[in-house]
Amino acid sequence: MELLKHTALELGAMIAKGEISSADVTDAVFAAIEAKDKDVNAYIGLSEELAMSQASALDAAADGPLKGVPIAVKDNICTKGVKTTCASKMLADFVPPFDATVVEKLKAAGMPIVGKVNMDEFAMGSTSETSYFGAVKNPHDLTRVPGGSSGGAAAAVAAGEAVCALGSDTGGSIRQPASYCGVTGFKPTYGYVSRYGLVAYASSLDQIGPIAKDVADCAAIMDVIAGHDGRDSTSLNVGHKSYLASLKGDVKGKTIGVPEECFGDGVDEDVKRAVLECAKTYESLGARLLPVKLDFMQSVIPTYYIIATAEASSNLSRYDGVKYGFRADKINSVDDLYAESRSQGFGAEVKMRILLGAFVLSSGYYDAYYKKALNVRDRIIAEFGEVFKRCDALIFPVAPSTAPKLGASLSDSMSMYLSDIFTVPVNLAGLPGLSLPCGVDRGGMPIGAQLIGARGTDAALLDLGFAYQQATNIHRALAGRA
Amino acid sequence: MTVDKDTVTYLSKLAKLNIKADEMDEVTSQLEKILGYMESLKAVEPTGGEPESVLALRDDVVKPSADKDELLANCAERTFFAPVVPKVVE
Repeated sequence: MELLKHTALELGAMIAKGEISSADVTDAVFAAIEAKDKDVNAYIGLSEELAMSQASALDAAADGPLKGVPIAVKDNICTKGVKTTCASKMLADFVPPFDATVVEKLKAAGMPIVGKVNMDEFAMGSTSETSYFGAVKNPHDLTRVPGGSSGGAAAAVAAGEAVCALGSDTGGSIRQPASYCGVTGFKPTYGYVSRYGLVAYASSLDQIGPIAKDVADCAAIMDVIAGHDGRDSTSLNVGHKSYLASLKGDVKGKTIGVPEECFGDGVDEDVKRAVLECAKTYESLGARLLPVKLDFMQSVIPTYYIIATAEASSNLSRYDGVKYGFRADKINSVDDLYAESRSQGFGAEVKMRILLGAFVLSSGYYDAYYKKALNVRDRIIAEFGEVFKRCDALIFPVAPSTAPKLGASLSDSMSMYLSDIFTVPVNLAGLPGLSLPCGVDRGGMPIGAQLIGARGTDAALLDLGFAYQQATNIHRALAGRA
Repeated sequence: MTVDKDTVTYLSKLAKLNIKADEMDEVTSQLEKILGYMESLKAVEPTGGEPESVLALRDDVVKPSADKDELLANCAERTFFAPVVPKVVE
């Protein structure tokens, strides 16, 4: 288990020197899962055969700093021959006939895939409780949620059941669970990582990214997964310099904006204090803090949920019980087949979002809801653009509170939606966002600071995060490495 | 925004979902609450521009398709070449 206290890069270096083997680390991950996952429930399925065959065939993989380092993959990312369930009864037995582009890249980089991590059903949720395979627990307090929707990925890394993981982020689903679990999570610029093989929730917002023990690991994983892909029509055809090599840790002369709207009523005092202390650390390292205003903050939740549910209702229309997925029995007609398969195969929150999406796209409401939300989204993008003329990055909390108790938000979708206020604007504008552990509340639960930058400033943003982690110890302390 | 059971029934038909009688009240009240909150966007002044598109079309090049048997393996009911559904014509 001691082996798993190391970061992915440390383990990669030890494997490269021959001090340990990839199989040693992969075995250690499976032993940790065996010991801990009964409590945490971070994994939906394991892929031991695939992982061990990858670990023993590293000669075929490209050389790189993560060669041989095992990784967990969120269960909405397709893995050829390995069940990909989206944490839904609908896809409980779905075995993809192809690999997602990011999975191809992990395999080419020699990173054994240990298993598929738990999540909210179809990534729709902020607590990882809506999984058909049971709620994920927060390793820092098993009575609390790990956040969501990539709760299994964040909990697995925090519990030492994974060295690192891939998640996906549609409205905060990498950053918020990373924050609740005290690990580092990065949502790249929209279009920087291929979505080919990511089961679609809201296609204009979804983005795959890493969750790991620190920023350097996230940067190294970005080096593996980023890049143009012709199979994703929204993939950006731009060059990617090495993210890992971009980490210098020098913030002198940088301007970091502090939006006052993100430190007001409704934000826990402990969260405000920790995130403002994080900002002060940047000041002490030579950055300049600049108060800024984000006038659109009151509009972001309705805008996000209109666009996300509209896209979800369209994307999830493919589940009809015919080509793949759950199929209801005792059916008399094709219409019955569609409606009963969908009604029995989807959980309550997924059905609620499909109905919402159907409403905002329906005749008579389309202009007032969906078209208006697209319009406000453009305004949000433009206002962010103005702010980033004056700032290199913005800092504010990932979430208004630390991890709530299990069950606290299950009965009220609206209250869960409101907790996404600080993460959804980043997806609406397609920006990169980094979640950094920056402290704990009075109950000892982790607090995350969020750094966001203009589109395409991913390397600079990771470098800012790296500078903080070079100067402080909280991310090591939360990982039991201090 | 008022949402009644007729609205939920209409939406469930659009979405091909069956809402059970004992779920109707809860679904109706949740939808009303959420859509009421979404109405706050009406107060935001429109910008007047058309939404931007980020889609890029790829070249129309023929590429190998996925393996038929692998694709069909996920069908609940199938013949050797196609999924099977209940009879659609008399």
